[in-house]
Amino acid sequence: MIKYATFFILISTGIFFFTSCNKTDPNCQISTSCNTEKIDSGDVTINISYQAGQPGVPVILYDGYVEDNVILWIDTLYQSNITFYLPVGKRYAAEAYYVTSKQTIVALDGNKLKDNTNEECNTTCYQFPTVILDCEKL
Amino acid sequence: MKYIFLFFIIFASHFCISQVGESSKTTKQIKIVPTLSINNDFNLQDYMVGLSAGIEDLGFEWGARVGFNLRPFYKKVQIKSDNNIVRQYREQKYLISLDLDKRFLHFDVLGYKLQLFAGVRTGLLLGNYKGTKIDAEKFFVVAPFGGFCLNFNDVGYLKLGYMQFNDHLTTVSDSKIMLSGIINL
Repeated sequence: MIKYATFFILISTGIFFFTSCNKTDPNCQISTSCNTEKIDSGDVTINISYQAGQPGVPVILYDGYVEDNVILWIDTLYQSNITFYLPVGKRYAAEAYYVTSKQTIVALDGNKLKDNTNEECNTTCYQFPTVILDCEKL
Repeated sequence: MKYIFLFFIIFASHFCISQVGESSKTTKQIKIVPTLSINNDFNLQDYMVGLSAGIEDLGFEWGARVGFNLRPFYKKVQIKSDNNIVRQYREQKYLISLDLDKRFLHFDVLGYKLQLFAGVRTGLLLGNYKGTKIDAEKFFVVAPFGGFCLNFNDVGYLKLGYMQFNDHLTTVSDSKIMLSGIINL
């Protein structure tokens, strides 16, 4: 009995998803906040662990993966984050170096800056693309 | 290795125990059915979810399942790479697993059929990191587990137990809670 009930629930859920996704309301209206023009650049924010009064944290921003070694920016940060305006559709990576007398922790993160979109009435709306690279110390 | 040995001792000993206690009532027969299961393994620091498919012998009450488990998020991990260098990555983990387990004993608790179970999860632990092409080091894992199994008339099982899973991360405890739902097809 439980077996049949489980199959019934699975099949019903599947039918619901397949039939409900393609319907478009004929009275659907696009909101005024919907931007239909593609945005070619966005914000890449690097977050690091920094406390006021402490030594700065060396940070490197790479185009692509770290191994590609294409450095976009390198500096020592005296704040907990920094933001760059960069082209969409590319991958970025960041490294932060936390140096103490005992050890150096190299915190790495990377991600692709993607289009930030949502659908309204079968129309693609573009929002400002952002990505956060989390290089905060564990 | 010692866990595999321990598992086989438990596995083999049960056949002796069950034959002593139950052979007078019925003669057990192998009755194998296909199964699907959803696995959840977690502690306060980590979580893995997975799907498995395999077989369950309703006669001798053992099961074997092949599965794929993953950590559904990126977790910060620190790997000591040199004497003074620690590399911190955001890591995703995957486990291709083979589960072997055995149910034993029967209890009636408030009308529910409860059993104990013990077994072992073996498999290959893989992972990748954000921002680099380097993959996490691969490990062969052997994780013994055991706990309580709620038996829904041999149609499905809900297993809650403890798993000793060494994922080679210093920031994550090896002790994990496992919660699995298994359905016989």
